[in-house]
Amino acid sequence: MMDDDDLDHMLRAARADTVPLGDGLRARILADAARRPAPAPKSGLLPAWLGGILGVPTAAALGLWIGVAQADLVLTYMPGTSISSEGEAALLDDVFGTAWIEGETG
Amino acid sequence: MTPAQDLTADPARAAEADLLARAGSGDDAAAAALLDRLGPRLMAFVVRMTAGDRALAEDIVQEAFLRLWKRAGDWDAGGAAQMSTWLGRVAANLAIDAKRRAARTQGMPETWDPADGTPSVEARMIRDERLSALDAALAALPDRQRQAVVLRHIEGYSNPDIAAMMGVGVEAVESLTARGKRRLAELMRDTKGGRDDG
Repeated sequence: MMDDDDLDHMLRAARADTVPLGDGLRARILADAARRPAPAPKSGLLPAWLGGILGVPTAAALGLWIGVAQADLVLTYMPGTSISSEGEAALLDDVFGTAWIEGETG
Repeated sequence: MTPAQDLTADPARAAEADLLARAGSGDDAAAAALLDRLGPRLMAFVVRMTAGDRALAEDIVQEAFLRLWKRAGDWDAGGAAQMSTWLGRVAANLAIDAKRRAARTQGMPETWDPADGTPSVEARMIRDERLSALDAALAALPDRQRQAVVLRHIEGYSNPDIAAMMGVGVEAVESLTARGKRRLAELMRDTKGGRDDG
């Protein structure tokens, strides 16, 4: 009669068991391997994360330098830093409810 | 088993990783060598999981290897999973899903008739008689009991791993393996008794 030990032994033995794949299945699996697309080549010299680590502080430093050392350049392109027409002055009067005098901020 | 540092201490693991990398680079001979190395063992496991459904087992083994080929470019040779374990896990999930789907859509019977003719005559001939009796008994178990017994007592997966694969709780796995093993022992005893009587 089979006891638990016999069954355990048989189950462990089954672990090493093998079943031949058969020629058809083997051929299909190898055809899959041959069809598999080649891995995409690594692009660029720097990995993306390194670009992020270097790029963010560089952009911040450049922005700070432009703001401090090239203030005129920035003011040229900022709206509201100069009033170029009577229309704009009238619009600002309407918005703020007072006479808009260039150069006064307080 | 622990990661990378064991790679040098495990030549089989390193060899399999090397074969997979070469297969990924288009080396057909390496793909064939890896298939011959891992395929027959995987096939035996899947045939048991599917209760001897050879056609389904073939589909599952093919799909498992297809997923392995796709991983060729980024296989982590020093990672936690051994290649055979990884394949086994993929195949186990596929087998469980397939049986679950079949039971849902076709109302498949929970047990399999061993007189079905599978696995093939050739496969049966090269198998040990006791293992064939074990396979017949396993195939007679309800699907979930059989899957739990195969995963736990033949493949050696932990109960939490099996619970994750089968989508049930650990307690359910413990119950399934206990009941399955008890039923298996009864079936094996009957088989053996019948043979002794004859």
